[in-house]
Amino acid sequence: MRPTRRSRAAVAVAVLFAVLAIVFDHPVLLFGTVGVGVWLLIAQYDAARAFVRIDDDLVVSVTPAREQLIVTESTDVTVSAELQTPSTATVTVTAEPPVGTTVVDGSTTLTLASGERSASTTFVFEPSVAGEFAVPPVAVELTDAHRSFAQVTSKPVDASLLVEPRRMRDVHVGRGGDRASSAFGTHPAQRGASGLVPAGLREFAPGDTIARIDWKTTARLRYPHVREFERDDSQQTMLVVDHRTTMAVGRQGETMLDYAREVALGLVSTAEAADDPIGCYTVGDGGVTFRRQPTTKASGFAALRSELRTLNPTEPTEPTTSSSPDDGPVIRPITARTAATRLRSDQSDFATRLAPFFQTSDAYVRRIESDPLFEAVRRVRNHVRGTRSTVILTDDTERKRLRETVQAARRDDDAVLVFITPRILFEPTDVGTVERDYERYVAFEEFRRQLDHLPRVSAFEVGPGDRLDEILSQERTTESR
Amino acid sequence: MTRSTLLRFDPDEIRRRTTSLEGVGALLAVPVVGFVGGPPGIVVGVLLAVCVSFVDAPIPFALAQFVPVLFDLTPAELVALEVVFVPLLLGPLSRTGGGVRLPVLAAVSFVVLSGVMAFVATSLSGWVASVVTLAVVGFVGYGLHRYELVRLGLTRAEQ
Repeated sequence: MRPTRRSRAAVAVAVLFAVLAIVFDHPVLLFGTVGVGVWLLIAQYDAARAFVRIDDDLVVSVTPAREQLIVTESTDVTVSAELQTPSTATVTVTAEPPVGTTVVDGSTTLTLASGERSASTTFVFEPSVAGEFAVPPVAVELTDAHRSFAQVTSKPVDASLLVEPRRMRDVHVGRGGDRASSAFGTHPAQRGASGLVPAGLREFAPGDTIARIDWKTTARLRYPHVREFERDDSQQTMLVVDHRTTMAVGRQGETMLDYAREVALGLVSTAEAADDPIGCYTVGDGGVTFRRQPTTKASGFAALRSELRTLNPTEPTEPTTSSSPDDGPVIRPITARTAATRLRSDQSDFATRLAPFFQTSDAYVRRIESDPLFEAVRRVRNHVRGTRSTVILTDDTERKRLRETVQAARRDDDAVLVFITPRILFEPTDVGTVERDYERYVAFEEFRRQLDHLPRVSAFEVGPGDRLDEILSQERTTESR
Repeated sequence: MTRSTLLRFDPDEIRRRTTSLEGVGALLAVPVVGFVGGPPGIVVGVLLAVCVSFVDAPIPFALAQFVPVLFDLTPAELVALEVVFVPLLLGPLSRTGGGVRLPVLAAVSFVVLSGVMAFVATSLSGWVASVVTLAVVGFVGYGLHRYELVRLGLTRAEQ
């Protein structure tokens, strides 16, 4: 135990009286030394007994509200202390957050005053690194009833935390909340497996396996013939990956671009496994940032993966025309032009007032064509020959432009897969906006279905499955009311 | 840790921290010191009673030891004074909730240590008595310190 300032003053008084007794040759003054000394010893004895009793009796617990966290995600931690028998000493318990974590709110110290039996405190802490953390022993400071002696001990606590790195979890790819079982990476049934198509017949030659013999031809020509196959290079897949600034929405490591990248890497792996040619265009705010023609070479697949993994959102090159998600209904330009034609023939005040608003259709077409994503799809159509599947990975910020881009991609009888990361699944959530979030998701789903109903187009939603489940649970709550 | 001082000025704190033993000792100090010291003794007694109110133990007891130095006392008067002053020492010890155990232990310890001090002072010399008194207090205090460390498991294993 260590003496406090009070007891140090008492020791000084005892020594002073001993010195004065010597200096003035008055042994009677030694009664002062004796009295103060006895008082200190008795107080020390009483403090020692109290400290030992508290050390045996004190129960301290540290309870985090959650034992599994993600890096930079905070949680409440409650520290409580309890004595079976109240003590005259004062007990101060201080919890230490594990190394690599920071206390962002609340106090880590609680005090059991003389006579109290229990106390608790709650603080909020936030881990800055991933890993498994054991909560260190709490510091317990004891002060006796006379405030003359103090002691610091520690109490081990049985509490640990698992902090996982921030990464994508539960990547959901589906339609209307339902996961897609298999929507891409397969060939049409009428084509050969693994991208091979029949290329002709020839006579059986040494080295050919019996499995390649075409028995119908052999029976007709009365000599073993084998059927040859060639690679179907016309079945190509072109990825068009949007990495403009609008794809940066979401928490670090879990942005729209991260999820789109995960899907794109999956498609590359699928193509490599099936030995299918696959190429890629990446689209930034300023236009196409990377392009690679369809390839089946191992180096080509590696190059695609490398490019996808290093994709980052670009900086905007011009003020965006809309800073908020394009949640309004999608009106096709032809509808606007039809309305403009009707208004030109109508001389009423109503038509005269509305006519100027429908005269901007040409400007609308120009804005669409200047869209980097539309431009990339147009390049795919012009520069990639043969039958192809165009896979577009983007968000739903500008739905009108996306619709026109998909329309452009599906020309020439090409199949189009659209993977859309809806903003509602990636924007920060606030308490009390659950109903509005559900309505926004419903609006997105309506847009996705519009695209999905287009001929030769399959549209999918991509995002965190837990966030989607949270929004869809609101549907059940709404229906039950 | 909250600051712990020997001085107290808050009336509530004075009422809370002054025990009945201390009150008895303070009240008795005035007539007893006045008896042995005359009118100046009454003044000293009153000052001592005031000191008990505003200064924590054991300082008032220590200050009271100046009374035998100020006035020429017989051994009987000295003993009577110490009997009056001892409650100033024991009062706070009765506040810890241990009943009379601690005050009795303190009283016995005071008597024993006073006897040792007096014996050494009369048989040898005053300065030897001072050194012996301080040594005994220091030795016992260190022993209590080690006992507490061992019981709390705060000592390091000898290698």
